[in-house]
Formats: sequence, structure tokens, C-alpha cells
Amino acid sequence: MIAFDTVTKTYDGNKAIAGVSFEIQKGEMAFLTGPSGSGKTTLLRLVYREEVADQGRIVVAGWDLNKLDSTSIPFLRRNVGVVFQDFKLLPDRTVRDNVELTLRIQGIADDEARERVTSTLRLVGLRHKTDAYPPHLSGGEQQRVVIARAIIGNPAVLLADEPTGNLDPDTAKGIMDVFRTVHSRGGTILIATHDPNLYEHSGCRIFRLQEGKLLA
Amino acid sequence: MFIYHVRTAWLSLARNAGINLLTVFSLAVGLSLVAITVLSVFGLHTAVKEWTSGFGMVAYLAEGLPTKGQEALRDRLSREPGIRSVELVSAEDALRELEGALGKEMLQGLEANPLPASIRIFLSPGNLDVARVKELAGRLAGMDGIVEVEYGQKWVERMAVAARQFGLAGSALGLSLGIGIIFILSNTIKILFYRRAQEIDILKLLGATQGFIRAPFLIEGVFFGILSGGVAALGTFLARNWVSGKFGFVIETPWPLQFTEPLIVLVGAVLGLAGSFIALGRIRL
Repeated sequence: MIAFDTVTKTYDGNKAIAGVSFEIQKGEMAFLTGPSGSGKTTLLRLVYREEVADQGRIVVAGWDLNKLDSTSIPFLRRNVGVVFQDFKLLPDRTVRDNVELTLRIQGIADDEARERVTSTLRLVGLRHKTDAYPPHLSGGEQQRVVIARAIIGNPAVLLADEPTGNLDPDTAKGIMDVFRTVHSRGGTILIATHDPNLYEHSGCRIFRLQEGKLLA
Repeated sequence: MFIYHVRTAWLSLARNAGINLLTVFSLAVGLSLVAITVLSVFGLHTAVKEWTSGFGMVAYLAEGLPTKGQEALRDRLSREPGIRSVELVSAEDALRELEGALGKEMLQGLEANPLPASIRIFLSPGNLDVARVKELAGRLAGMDGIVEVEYGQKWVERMAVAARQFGLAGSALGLSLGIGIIFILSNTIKILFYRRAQEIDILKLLGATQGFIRAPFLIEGVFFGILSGGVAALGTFLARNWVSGKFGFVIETPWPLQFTEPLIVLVGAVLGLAGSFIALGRIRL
């Protein structure tokens, strides 16, 4: 589902990603770990084509990113749900409107969109916060809204960048439970984190990055 | 999808209602000026036309033209297009009228009647403009038996020149204001776009196409145009009713006059769309 083949990404002569190769299979949940500045976020940004690799080949959900023209990027991104570290929620829209945005972009009809928002908010445990605005939610609740927005379009791949970074352990556990639920339904998930509590004993593959290189 | 974009555009306008209302009123002033300029140009043309249509001409007949020839000429003129009626005034009748106006004593020294016979010509109301009056006068002057045609040529020509110059000045002013309106709208849309930069970034990350991102801004431009057009239409309606009441004539326009206000709203919408297109065309997504 995600394949990197000797991918390199350089910023001002410094290699953020250096010859990275790996594959994640369909339905697999994996972790990407490493210290701050090791290249985790850059790697994720390469997957949803926010960054372009300088060298190597990336294939995501059947899309060869080297051959992707700019008009196709939106269609790739509809197949890649992203849980952003900084949430990227619209503060002046309700939880429903924020989550529904993914479906609006995909041209889903009103009735179906309404039903899917309701069921997705129920899945992440936020059914009762439908009409709330993000600034009135806790960090954990906002993270759940982001997850709901990322998964509602049934993306082929779900990426999460430090999804529990600013959350207390109990809330973090709740967020991970949501990811496990999505995974149990067949979702392909790559979670970037430097928190060992999340991936230890998870039974998932772990990719360790250090200074842009993938450790064996 | 369209309804969603319309709703998004409307909410965006409503969110910044205060500043957007100021923009609407600025644009409305511009549109009102365009409308009033255009209506003034047509109003002046109407005034000139009204004035010339009530206008009389006098065709002076050749000395010694027999009465039958005078009557034949009168009949011929009465059949000319643009002429409502004609009246043959013999040399004797003309002298009698002059005596009536000046008094017999004033004309006592005259040995012979110096006045020629003439035909008074009354033009069809609302059927003549300056150019046609001139053309008719020239044609009549060329007829056998007519030696001169009088019709207040200088006044007619002056009015025609004034109307033409006013038309040109009005067109230039209308064009400048139209460009100004597009410029204001284009900048307003650009500001709205940059104000929503964060939202646009999120939309792009969620897979929105350029069309999806641009659509609400195009609609916002049209909203600006319609709202300001509506305000301008109201102002224009009041202004033209005042003019009709004050000067007692209805401006003739190439379109039915009652369509003026809907036309202003339509022009506003088109200018709004044009402004949005220009703004979005210059923004890289």
C-alpha cells in the first residue's frame, strides 16, 4: 500500500530523508519512530505529496508519485487520510462541518454525508459534540475530530503524525483505541511517534528513523 | 455541491459583515454613477429628440411660382415621411400676418409685397432626431420651387454636438468606473482569499481541487455584485422617478426602461464575476 524505494529528500543540502526503502502492506498498522528531527514528519509529507522526493520512487495506494501531475494530487490525497500533529481544524466551523469537509470535497450527497458523519463521530466517541466548535473542545476531543475527518472518506491509507503528542496518558490510550478499531476494520495505518508506550507491545512493525536513515 | 459553495460564500460574507457592507456600498456608489451617467446620456438624447420633434420648418417658395405649383408642392411635402402636417402661406397671407404683428402703420411705405409665399412644416413628434431634421431640410431645399429652408440650424447642430460629446464623455466615465469596480472587487476577493489561507491549506490537504477551492470566491464576487447592484438599482430607480416628475419626460433607452434596475443588478453580477476571475487568476494555489 505504501512503498518507498531508496527515497531521498534534501533541504538546503541537508538530507532529511536519506535513501529510505520500506513497504507497508494493505491492512497493516505500523509505527514510524525516532527522535525529534529524525525525518518522521518529512516522510509522512512525502506520502501525501506535500513534499516531493529528490531521488527514489514512492508508490501510495497504486499512485506512482514520481509520475503524478499537479492536477492528480487532490485525488491522491482523497486516498490518504492524515491526522495532523497540529490538528488543522477550522475553528469557526462545528465538529460536524469540519468532519463533513472531507465528504464535501469528494462530492458526497447531503443525506449520505449526514449519516456518515453521525456514524463516524459515534466511532470516535464524539457523537454528543456534533455541534460544538473546536476551541471549546479538549485536546483529546480535537484529536478525535481530526481522526474522524481523516477516516470518514474511507482512505486507502491513514497517516498520523504524533497523534498523542500533547495528550495525557489516558486520553492517548483512548486515541490509540480508535486507531486499533480502524485497523481492525481493515485500515492501513502508519503512525509517526516518539512515544515508546504507543508501539511497544503493539505487535506492529516499527520503522526507526535516525538522521533521515532507516535503521535495520 | 453548488448549494454547498453558495452557502460557504454566503457564510464568508456574513462572517465579515461590517467590512463587506462597506465594500458593497462603495461598489453601489460606483454602479449608481455608471447607471446615472448612462441614463443621463440617453436622457439628453431624448431631450434633443423631443425638442426637435416639436420643431417647425419654413420652406420659402420661389417668386412667381403659380398657386397651382405652390399647392402641388404643399401636397408633395405632406406626403414626406417625418412630416406631420403642412400649411401653405401665400405672400398675401404672410403680409397680413406681418401687419397684424407690427401694425399697418409700420408697413405703409411698402410699394410691393416683399414677402415670399412659404410652406410651414410641422414635424412628426418623436419621429425625428437632429440628423434626420438636417437631412430633411437639405432634401427640401433641393426641391424645385423651394429657394430656402429655415429650421434653426445652429441650435440643432449645437444640441447634436453637445449630445455627441456628452455621450463620449459618458462612455469614458462609464468605462473608467466599470474598470474601477472590477479593480475594487478583485482586491476584495484577494483579501478574502488571503484571509482564508489557513482554510485553503486544509482544503488542499484534504484533497480539494482548484475548482472546489475557487468556486466560493467566484460566487462571493457575484454576491458582491448583486448586493451592490441592488443598492445601486434602488438609488437609480428613485433618481429616474425624480427626473421624470421634475422634467416631465420619460428617458428613451434601447431597452424597456423598467428593465433598467434588473439590468444594473445583472451588470453588477457580471462585474463581480469578472473581478473574482481576475483576482483568482493571479493567485497560485
